[in-house]
Parts: sequence; structure tokens; C-alpha cells
Amino acid sequence: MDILFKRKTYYLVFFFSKYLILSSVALSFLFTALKGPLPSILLFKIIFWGVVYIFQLESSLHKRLTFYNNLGLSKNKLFVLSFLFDVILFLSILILVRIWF
Amino acid sequence: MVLEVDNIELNFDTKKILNSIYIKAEKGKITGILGRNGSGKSCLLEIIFGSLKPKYKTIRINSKTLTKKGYAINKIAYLPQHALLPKKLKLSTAFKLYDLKWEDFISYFEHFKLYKNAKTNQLSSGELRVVETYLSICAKKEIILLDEPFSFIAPIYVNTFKKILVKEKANKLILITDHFYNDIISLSDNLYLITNRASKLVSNKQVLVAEGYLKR
Repeated sequence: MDILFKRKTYYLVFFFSKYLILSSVALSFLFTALKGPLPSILLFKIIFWGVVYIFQLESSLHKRLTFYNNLGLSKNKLFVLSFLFDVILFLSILILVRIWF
Repeated sequence: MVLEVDNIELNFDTKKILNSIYIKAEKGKITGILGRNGSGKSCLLEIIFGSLKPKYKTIRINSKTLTKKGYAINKIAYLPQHALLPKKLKLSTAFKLYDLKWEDFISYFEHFKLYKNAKTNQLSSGELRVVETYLSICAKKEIILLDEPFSFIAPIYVNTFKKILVKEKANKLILITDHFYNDIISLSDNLYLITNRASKLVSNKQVLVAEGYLKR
């Protein structure tokens, strides 16, 4: 569990999934603009990360994970933390947008 | 520290890859593994690291059976055959992540001095392999697994890595496999050959000839 308290962990998670997180956040804002309810947006995020997880498991992309495994991060930790990053980033921007506008 | 790998059975569909394996590696020693292409050397290292799940396995560290995946105990560094570092990662960042000093690396490989702020995709595959091999050998871990570390590397760098390995082995348990058998034989304190899905402790070069790994 001590790995969760290291700054390195969060850098690695962001490095691993930055494009995925940005894609997910962008799609979430598209749903928000189309008046999609918040629970369905969160459900979309769960499905999004689930599909990416399965894709990584089944494809040769799993070789990429060796680097992260070497630095103490398992695939499960990478995906759970990426999902949490995504949700936190989306909700933070959403709250800020609602405060300002 | 003693690492023992035992009772491995690995199949790909109906093809048996590994069956009767016993490997013992100790801290302070380099354990070499030789074998023909497709004999299962890389699979064996992947099994120890935890990225490949065999049908059966027993891995013991200091006589205690490892129940988690190897990498989960955070004591193993593994250099795979394929590229290790992700694309677009700065070399200086890679060294920070591995908690190693760039200056120490440059003291061995001066030619890389200008690459500190370069990204991995800006290096040739050979240069990248040098960096990955150095990071894996010098990683602050107790068990080092090296799968073909000398592939794609210039002979002059291979000699440097041999010196680094001899220095690093004092505090580490090192398992190494490569097709550069002369380098592996000269480096290894213990040597195993994987043949017919089983491991065999090699005491001298004649065993390698008798087993058909080397020509007479």
C-alpha cells in the first residue's frame, strides 16, 4: 500500500493514461453539453476504462505494462488510479465551470 | 537471499514448453541460463517476474513460497527482450523513477552525455537498450532478471556491462539469459541449460556439447 503514498506513483499513472484521461474527460463534457445526467456519465467512464482494461489484457499492449510492474505498479492499480484521476479531473472542472458561469 | 524455481509446467495450447525445471540462484552470484531459441528461457523469467502464468509453479525466496506475483513484492527488476521504457519518456525522468544518478551512468557511457533531456523515441534501438540494461542491472532491487541484455549492444558496451554486473552482484541475485554464450559462461557463477523442457545444471562446456547446445 505504501506505493499509493509516493509521488512517483501518480506521475506514472498520469504518464500511462494521460491521453485516455483527456479523451474520457472530453467525451464526458460532450455528454454534459448534451444534458446527460451525471450518473450516466460516471457509468460511461466505468465502461470506458473497462473496455481499455480488456483491450490491454488481450492485445500486445500488455508488454507496455512491464515498465510499470518494474516500478511496483500492477495493472489493477494503474487502471483504478487512472479511473479515479479521470473522475476527479472531470468533477473538478465541472464544479469550477458551474461556479464561474 | 536464495531464489528457487521449481515444479514449473507451462503449456501453450497442446505444446509443452517447460516441464521439469529446478533453478537455484543466490545473492552474490550470477546465474546464467542457456538454451536454444524457443526453449522457454524468456518464459521462465516472465514466470518469476509474474507477467506470465504457468499451469503450475513453485517459487521460493529464502525457502518461503512466493504466493504473490513476483513484481508485487517490489524486489525484482526485470529486463524483457522487448523494449522496456515507454515512448516519449525523458531519460532524466527514467533515471529519477529508478532512483539512479545520471552522472553514474555517464561515468560508464560518456557517449550518452548529450542525451540527458532526450526522449526515448529519439534514441536508436541499440542506444535505448543500453539505457534499459543499465537501469535494470543497477535498479535498487535484490533480484535482477535479464533477458538477452547484450542483444543490439555494441561489443565495447557489452564489456562495460560485464564490469557493472560483476560490481553489482555483490548485493544482488542476478539471473541472466542470452545467446552470447561465451559472455554468459564467463560471467556466470552457476549455469543452467534448458533443453527438452527441463533444466540441467552445467558444470563445464562439455555438457553443453553433449546436450547438443554447442558444436564439438
